[in-house]
Amino acid sequence: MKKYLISVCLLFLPGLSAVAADIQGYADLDNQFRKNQNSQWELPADAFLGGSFRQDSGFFAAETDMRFFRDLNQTSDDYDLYQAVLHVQPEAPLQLDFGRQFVSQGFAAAVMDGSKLTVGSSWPLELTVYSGELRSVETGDFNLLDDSLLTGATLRLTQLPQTSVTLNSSWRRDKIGETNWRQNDQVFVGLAASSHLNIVTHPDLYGVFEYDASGQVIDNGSAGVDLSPGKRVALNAEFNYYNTDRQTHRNTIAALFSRGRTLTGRLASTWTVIPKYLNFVQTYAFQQVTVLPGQREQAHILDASLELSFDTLGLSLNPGYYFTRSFGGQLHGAHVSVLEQFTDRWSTQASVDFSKYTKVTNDNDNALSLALGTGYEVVDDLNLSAGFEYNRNNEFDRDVRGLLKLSYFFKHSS
Amino acid sequence: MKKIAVVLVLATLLLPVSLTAKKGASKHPFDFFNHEMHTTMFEGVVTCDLCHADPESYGDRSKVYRLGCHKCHKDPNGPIPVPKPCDTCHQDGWYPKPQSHKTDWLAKHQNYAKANPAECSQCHANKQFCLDCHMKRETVVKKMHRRNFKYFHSIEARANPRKCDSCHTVSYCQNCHAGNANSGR
Repeated sequence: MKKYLISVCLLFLPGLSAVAADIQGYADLDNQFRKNQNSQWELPADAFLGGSFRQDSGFFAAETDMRFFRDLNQTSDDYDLYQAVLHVQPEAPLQLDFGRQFVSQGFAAAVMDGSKLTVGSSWPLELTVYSGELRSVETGDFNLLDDSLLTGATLRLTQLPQTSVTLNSSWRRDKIGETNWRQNDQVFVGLAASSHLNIVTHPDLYGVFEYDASGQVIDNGSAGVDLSPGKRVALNAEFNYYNTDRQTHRNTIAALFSRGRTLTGRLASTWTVIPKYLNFVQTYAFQQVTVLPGQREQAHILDASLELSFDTLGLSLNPGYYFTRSFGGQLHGAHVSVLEQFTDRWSTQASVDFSKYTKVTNDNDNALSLALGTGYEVVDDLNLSAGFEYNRNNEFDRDVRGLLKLSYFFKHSS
Repeated sequence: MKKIAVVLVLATLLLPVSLTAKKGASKHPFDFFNHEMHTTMFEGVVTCDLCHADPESYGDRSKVYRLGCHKCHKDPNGPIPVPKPCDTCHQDGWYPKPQSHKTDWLAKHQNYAKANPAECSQCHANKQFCLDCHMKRETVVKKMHRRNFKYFHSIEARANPRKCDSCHTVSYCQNCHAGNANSGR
């Protein structure tokens, strides 16, 4: 592990010699005090560290983010490295990115150990090519070596007025030495576009089409519209089709619950009831999931809440209701959160969440969670927070937890 | 029950205290914009359509092209060398959202990001912003789901199973359901 940390630190050494640059860094420490189901004390602590360096000339930049976990009582630990990437821009239309980096080039977002080359950000056409080994932090840590190999290219039209069009392709190879192409490889091609129209209601139109060439199936298709019919209302409607190829080696959570296509229709709206004081926000989604070939189940997901804010008092309230019905059961829930910003440096937050559910397994119950916390900015960019929570659910008749949180943000320009 | 009552009483007491707190009204970022200075000193460089791409934006500041400022103040290859401190405009925590962000943005953001990833990075310059939700494991303070989510996740997973794949792998399910459970790490 040490050699990786040293490598990460080395990424930033070139930057230290630079004169004109922006340097940012942060450290967040979350520490909880709780008892587990066996009444044993646990003192888990998450430490998030990160930083970025960017030369004013734009020639060189670097970013890193990582997490350390330790249970101070159980002496178990864990660590993740989310990114450690160098950005080099030797000439204006050319940018190179090396190292562990976040990639979101038209398909699923992922973390990759590899390199990315972008050409022509100031031209009418921008080309990005990338290749590397994917990392999924849940399945291990940054020592893990057996994730997939991802290679791809993106072509973006950059100078269409108020319109964006991107062509994407990617090739994901699960195991390098595997010869069964059909089950081991996934080749995707896709088109994504969005456009703003200067007509009545000022619609933003967007759409995505993704085809799995190896599985010969349309993987994903989305079309949606954002409308602003008046100053006080914003609407969104979206339709989505999804049908992943289930013959590959790669397991997905979607494939655990479905054996065919999933259709989604979603309507959402935001209403400004009283400007600056009260908003009403709602979203409703209808889902049709193919559980087995020929067997389709419907689901409904509803979420509605009010956003009340009294800026002169520093007070914000957010009560809401949520509902889900699927072939797994039915859920009703209600929540309220209250945020009070006493001063620029001192705030307090309280929240209540109550859920009542019935499951097809007859595991019917309700769950209650209360949380109260307060935070204070001790000095500029150094925040200290403390709080506790009370939970009652089917694991705990009574669960009380304490929390201490320290966060620091650093920014320096030279 | 006594402890619940204490929590509720404390929370209730905090609210009246808040009524005495005062906070200065926040200004919109455009309140810090010197229009005359930009149109006279940089005539020919800062053209009208740089910010007023939409004809209606002359009378409605909400329709001003928000990335117009960034053309000079953020782009290292901008038309003229200018100061680039973000807090010149983004004061008091004001980060004006584009229209597309106002309704159910979380559910649809992937479609916009796929069409134009460069537009996201105009405001969210550091990839840490994306990693915060997509990759970061927060095992102590879990903020990605509702507080009781663990107890009804099976219902939501069957309503929209694809959504789980956005952040989790199958091994995450197996950690608990296949007998490798831990106490919440």
